[in-house]
Amino acid sequence: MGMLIEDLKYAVRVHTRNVGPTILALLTLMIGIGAGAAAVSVVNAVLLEPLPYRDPQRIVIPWRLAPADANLGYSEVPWGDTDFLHLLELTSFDSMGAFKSRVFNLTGVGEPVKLEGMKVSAGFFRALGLTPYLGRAFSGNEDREGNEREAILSYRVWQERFHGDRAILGRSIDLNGIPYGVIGVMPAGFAFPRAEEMPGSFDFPRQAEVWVPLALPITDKASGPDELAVIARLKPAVSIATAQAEMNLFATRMERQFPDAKGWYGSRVTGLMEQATAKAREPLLLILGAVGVLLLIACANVSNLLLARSMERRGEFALRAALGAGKMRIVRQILTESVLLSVCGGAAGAMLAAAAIRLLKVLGPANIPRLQEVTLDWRAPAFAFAISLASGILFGTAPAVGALHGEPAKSLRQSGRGAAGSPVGVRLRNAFLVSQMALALVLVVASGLLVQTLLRLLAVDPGFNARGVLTFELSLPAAKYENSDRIAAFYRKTLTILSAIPGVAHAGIVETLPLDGASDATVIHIPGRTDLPGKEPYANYSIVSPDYFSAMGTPLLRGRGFLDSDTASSPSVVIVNATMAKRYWPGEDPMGKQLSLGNFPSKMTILGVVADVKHLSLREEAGPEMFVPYTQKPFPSMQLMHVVLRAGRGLSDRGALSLAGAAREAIRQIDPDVPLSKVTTLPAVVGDSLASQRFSALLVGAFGILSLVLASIGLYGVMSYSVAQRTREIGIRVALGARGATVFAMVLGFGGRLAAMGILTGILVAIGVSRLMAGALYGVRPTDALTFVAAVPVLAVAALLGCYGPARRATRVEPMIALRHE
Amino acid sequence: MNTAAAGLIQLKSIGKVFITEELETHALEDIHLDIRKGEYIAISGPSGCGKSTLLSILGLLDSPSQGDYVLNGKCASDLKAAERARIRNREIGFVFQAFNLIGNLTVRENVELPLIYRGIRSTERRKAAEEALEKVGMSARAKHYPSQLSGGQQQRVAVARALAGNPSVLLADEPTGNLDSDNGKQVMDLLSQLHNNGATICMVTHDLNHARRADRAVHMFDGRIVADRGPRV
Ligand SMILES: Nc1ncnc2c1ncn2[C@@H]1O[C@H](COP(=O)(O)OP(=O)(O)OP(=O)(O)O)[C@@H](O)[C@H]1O
Ligand SMILES: [Mg+2]
Repeated sequence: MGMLIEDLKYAVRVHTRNVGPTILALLTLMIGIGAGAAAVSVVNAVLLEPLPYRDPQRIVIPWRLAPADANLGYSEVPWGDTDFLHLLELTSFDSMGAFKSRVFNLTGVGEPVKLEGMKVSAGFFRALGLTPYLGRAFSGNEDREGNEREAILSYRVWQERFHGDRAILGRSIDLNGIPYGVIGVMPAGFAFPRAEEMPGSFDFPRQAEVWVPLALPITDKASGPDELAVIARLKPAVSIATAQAEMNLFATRMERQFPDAKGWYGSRVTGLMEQATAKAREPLLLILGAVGVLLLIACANVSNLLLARSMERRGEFALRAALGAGKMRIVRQILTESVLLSVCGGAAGAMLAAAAIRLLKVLGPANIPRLQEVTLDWRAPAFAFAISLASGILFGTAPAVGALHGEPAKSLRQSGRGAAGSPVGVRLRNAFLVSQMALALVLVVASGLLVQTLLRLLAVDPGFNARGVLTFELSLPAAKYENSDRIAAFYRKTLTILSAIPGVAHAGIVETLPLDGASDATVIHIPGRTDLPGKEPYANYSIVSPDYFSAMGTPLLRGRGFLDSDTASSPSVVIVNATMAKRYWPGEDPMGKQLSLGNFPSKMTILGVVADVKHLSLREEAGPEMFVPYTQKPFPSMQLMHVVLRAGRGLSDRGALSLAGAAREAIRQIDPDVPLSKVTTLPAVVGDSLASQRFSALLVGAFGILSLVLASIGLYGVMSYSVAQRTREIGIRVALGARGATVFAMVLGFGGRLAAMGILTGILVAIGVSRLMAGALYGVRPTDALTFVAAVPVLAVAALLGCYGPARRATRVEPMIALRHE
Repeated sequence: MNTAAAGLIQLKSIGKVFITEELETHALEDIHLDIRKGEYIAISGPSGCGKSTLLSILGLLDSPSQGDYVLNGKCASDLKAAERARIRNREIGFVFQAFNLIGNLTVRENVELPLIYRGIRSTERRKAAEEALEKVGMSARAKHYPSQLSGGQQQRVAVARALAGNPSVLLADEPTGNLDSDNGKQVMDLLSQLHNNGATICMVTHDLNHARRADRAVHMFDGRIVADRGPRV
């Protein structure tokens, strides 16, 4: 014990006597451990944390896949009611539930509020293996038409709206004006599905607040649009592959039974775990990779600093050995020093990590699941601590042990001759430095590529002009707005009043807002075309009002827009996008051409062509899309519509946002039961669609900068050491007539050679590695020459910063030193 | 050049004070010294009396605290570092006690070093270096590294380096201090031979036998010149 305290005291003295390298090592450890711990914590929580369900590895989602040649821009499509009833007969699954999202207006408890909700079949909760916190889940009986007036609430709604009153069970609440009996409350934190984990083509809420039975009618006839997603629990010994095989057989069966829908029964059975993490995986792995590189740099740095110190102290070690200290005694002393350094660096790093995680939660995009639940994982700092300790032991102890191996006398003599140094040690240090520079270059290139991706995406024409546009969502209570005449009348009145608000230039409504989700796809019939079953043309389909395109600033390329005179009683009309015109009427004039929707017989005439608009992301290739006027009895019900208001000339996005108050007041006057939600500006919607890209670019960029700092520190350390070692040589050169500038250039040249080797190595590594991130890039190749060329001066500047101090110090060496005898 | 008769170097009332934390060391006080072209001077005196300090001022490695230093008729007391480096490089050749060859340069590269700093082209440099090595009898070792030479050989290379630039004066501080007597004698013979060929030499030495080989002996004590025996005839 006394010996340990003795060792510790001496260790503190060693670290504080030569405080420069100690500070550099601590800084390096802090940055490396801090960034590493933060990233490992995030990845752990987001990717590796098990789902909070029973046997989560058995839960799967059998996605329905669109045919490969459908080009919808996404592959997962919803199942129909009939499909689900057939799926229930499969034997691979223990339980299976279907679900779709529904918006409910909760009235009668305080202000009316819009609740994102789900309609789920009885098997939904069973498949998840989850029971409510309070009450019970739906029974098979309640999942029947006519018995479906039961609801389960989220913990939050229960707390906020009903103050956690346990007497809620059995109480009746009004959803969309219809009374439902509350039978359960879900546990706090339950959220399935989460929009951010699901394909963008499904319009799931981020957080559902209410669940009601799906209550499918038991019939073999297709009843409405396909809207269902399915979740299932595999039987105990059944693998995903087995289930997939059964699904494939199912497809053949179904195609035989429903030849019209040939090609539309493909499926992919995806594990829930994989589904939940798939979207976040790529950016997170990218970030983890960046952190790994950073950690390597940090390790090289610490190793270098320790190596330098321990080389300097070879004489001391040899002297101690000569004075009779045992080898173990000396090794223990060095270990104590390394541990002390690692503990301090680790503690500082843990604090940095905690701060970084807090920052990440603020900056992180909403589509990274569970980001808000991330806490500092103790394993992460422990891991980083272990690494720094290991490098401390390896590079702190090895040279000392080396010094002890030969006879002490020789080491003693060597240690006196500073200029000699140990060639092995020097070469090792230079190698560390070169790899540090190389790795930093890799990170700089990676962040350069990501920033370029972001810029290219920002420059993509989304097909509309977002500036100065306000948007919000309206959801009509179904009980009050049950027929399309009433609905159309409501929107007509709304649009008239909204357009009259001072400052509003154009007001329009649309079913799915661009960059906010996919619109429904539907099969279309074009007279004169004969298509094989399953190969019919299709198009995404959206409902709009006449002034919608002006409000969005989407250019009308041909023909005319909708007019107020296009009503339920006038001929049916349709506007198509440029891609649809080109794909289905290649080389022809689409104007005046006719088409009909799915199974509907009535024909619609094309009267205009508009520019393509991006729906899911700026990266997508536009698919065929068509627009119909809201006045012509389209399906679905239009109970949920987005309003877009373009502010008049000279009004900025802020100005657009200032229209919200007037709009809200106008809607209240028209119908106080209609809630208005998701008030935002269109630029914000565009920005949100890039959040993930921005996040990746930001983080990898931050790691790039940190890596430059570390590489700079590393070079500084090596050059300082080298200048100290060469003091006498520099003095001699100055005595022989070398000038300050010559000495400065000599030191810079030495650092520059190392840096150049690092940069060259880095370029080669980056060429190999950047290919791995091809998926995260847009509009820029992984080996983009510009990025590589631009990274070189960045590294050069970092190298210069690292060399500058030591080079200046070299110029201050007095020539007098040459006269002094050793 | 109006003072040509007076010679190469004139020190007038030179003083040097080192100020460290608590101590003020008067290393040199009121030094007057004239050195003529072609002279061979030996400076001796007890340890700490200021011999090296005097040599460092002569060699423009350091500047005096007071007094004037005239070298080749030009005042050299208050020059900027770059200008002093230039003069050192052109007018002065150093031979140090510790040889001070640079370990990772070959013998020839070491000899070329002052010429590099003078900006001389490599072919000429090489020729000058070879001539200098010839003079000290080390041509055969041009490609060796200093660590491959004996002490005496290293010092001869150091002399060659001092000669290579054709300096006005050769300054040597204890050139035999790190050598055994045989090697020491060889180096002294070399200096005598250079002197006979016209070189101006100013050497610091403890060894009275060595001092006797010079044609003028300056004795110092406690920062002052206490004896200056002129050239013996
Ligand atoms: N850079 C310095 N800072 C402070 N004092 C110095 C410095 N250089 C020399 N001195 C002091 O000046 C005095 C003269 O030193 P100098 O080296 O000239 O002596 P020396 O005659 O060459 O001695 P030796 O024969 O031991 O080499 C000494 O007292 C020495 O301590
Ligand atoms: Mg001396």
